Amino acid sequence: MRTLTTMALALWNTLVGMGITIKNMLFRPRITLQYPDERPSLPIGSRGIPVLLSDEQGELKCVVCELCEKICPVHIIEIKWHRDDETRKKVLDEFNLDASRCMLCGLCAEVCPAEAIAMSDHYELASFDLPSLVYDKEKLQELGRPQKTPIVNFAIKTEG
Amino acid sequence: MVPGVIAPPSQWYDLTAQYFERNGWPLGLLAVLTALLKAAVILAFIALNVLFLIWLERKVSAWIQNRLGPMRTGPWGLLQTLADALKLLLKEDVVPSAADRWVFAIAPIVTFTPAVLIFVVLPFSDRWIVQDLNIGILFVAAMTSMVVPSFLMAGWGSNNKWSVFGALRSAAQLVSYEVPLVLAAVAVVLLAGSLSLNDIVEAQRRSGWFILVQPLGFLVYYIAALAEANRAPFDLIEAESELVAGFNTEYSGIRWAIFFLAEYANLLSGSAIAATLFLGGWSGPWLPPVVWFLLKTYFLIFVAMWIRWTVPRIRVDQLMNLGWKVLLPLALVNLGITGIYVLVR
Repeated sequence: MRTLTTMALALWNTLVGMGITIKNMLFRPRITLQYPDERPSLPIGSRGIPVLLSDEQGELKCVVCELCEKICPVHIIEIKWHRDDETRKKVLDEFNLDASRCMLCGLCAEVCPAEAIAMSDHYELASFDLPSLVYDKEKLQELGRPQKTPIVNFAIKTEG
Repeated sequence: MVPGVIAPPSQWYDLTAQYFERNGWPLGLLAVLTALLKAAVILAFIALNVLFLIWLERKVSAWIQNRLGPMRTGPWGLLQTLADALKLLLKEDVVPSAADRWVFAIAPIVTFTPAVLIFVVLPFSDRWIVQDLNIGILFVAAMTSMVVPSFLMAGWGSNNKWSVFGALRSAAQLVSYEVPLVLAAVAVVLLAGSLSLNDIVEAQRRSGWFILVQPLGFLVYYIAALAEANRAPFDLIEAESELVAGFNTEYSGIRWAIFFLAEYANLLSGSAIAATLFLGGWSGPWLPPVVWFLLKTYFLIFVAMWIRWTVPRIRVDQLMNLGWKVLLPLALVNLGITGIYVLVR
């Protein structure tokens, strides 16, 4: 009798399990994203490499305080500047960011007093040669220009 | 005369035979050519179906797990298996230095041969059958048993402890499940009054599908057939998580591919025979017989895949308990009741 009960129970449990799997197969949506063709819509605040932001006139918001260069834990930001003789303002000459070593900590964006640098949604950085991953001022400005969202958690989105 | 020509209607055969006689060619040559043609058709059928089945297995597993499965090789990934097969063909033929060279080399072929031979007696339709042997189901039982020595050859020849474990398990499992399998089939044979698979289908055309009168027999047969084809939950022979890959641990490249081919050919033939014995084989209204045969076969194959991706692998002791303490008594009871029914009918 016990054997019969066990047998019936085993059969029943298998059938219940098969019911669950067929429900998953027929009615649950697929969760696969076919990556190069389809891309995930990243949540606001997700971090790709830092980019430089511009104001309405298209000028960089950077005030050349060099705080980001100082706070960067991996020392990948290099800033060169000179002082304009007439206006006595600091002028940014070079802003180099080595994206190959960036750890995406976001400290540069956090520390920036002018909201001139923010984490972007550029995460596909793979390249065949290392020097091409050192992004200069123009490249970073270009990456930051199509800003779509205000800065949230020190990050912006540039796409969709 | 060679009876039961596959594919071409028999008047074609008669016409060819007349042509041979007119030219004075021996009819034996025609018999050999017909046999070769049949073998080629069957091998092509198996190869195409296995290519499709492996794709289907991956798709079904993916769908059940809310994935998409192969999508990028061909439309819906249909050419994925072909790409895999080509890759395997190009691989180096590795034979372990400690292996028994000849036994190791022959084992995949010995596995594949009986898997193909089963298709000799399968009735694809009333006319499409390679050879309607009057001992059909007995021949099938004999051929499925032939898998055991080939697995033992593979396991022993590899000279590897995982392989030997897998081979020993396969011997224990296949011998245990052969008994209820054959007993369940015997009940059908009693009802049909013939061992020939075509006669069994004809009997079902007269009396209705045998699954209606033999539900218990069908259950026993199907579970035992799953175990015979090494399908999960009875895949202890290959058990990745414990035995690496069981008897085929040391195999790679094309030899491994032949094992895989044989495995899916066994799944195909097992489902086809279950469909023939219990679901009326090729018989059915409106559609052509071959379509009915393939529909029923593929339904059972799908159920096998569905079960595989639902239940976990069972333990060795559970396997033996199920085989000897549950399936065998059930099959015997079923056979006894069927016998009495046939006697008093």
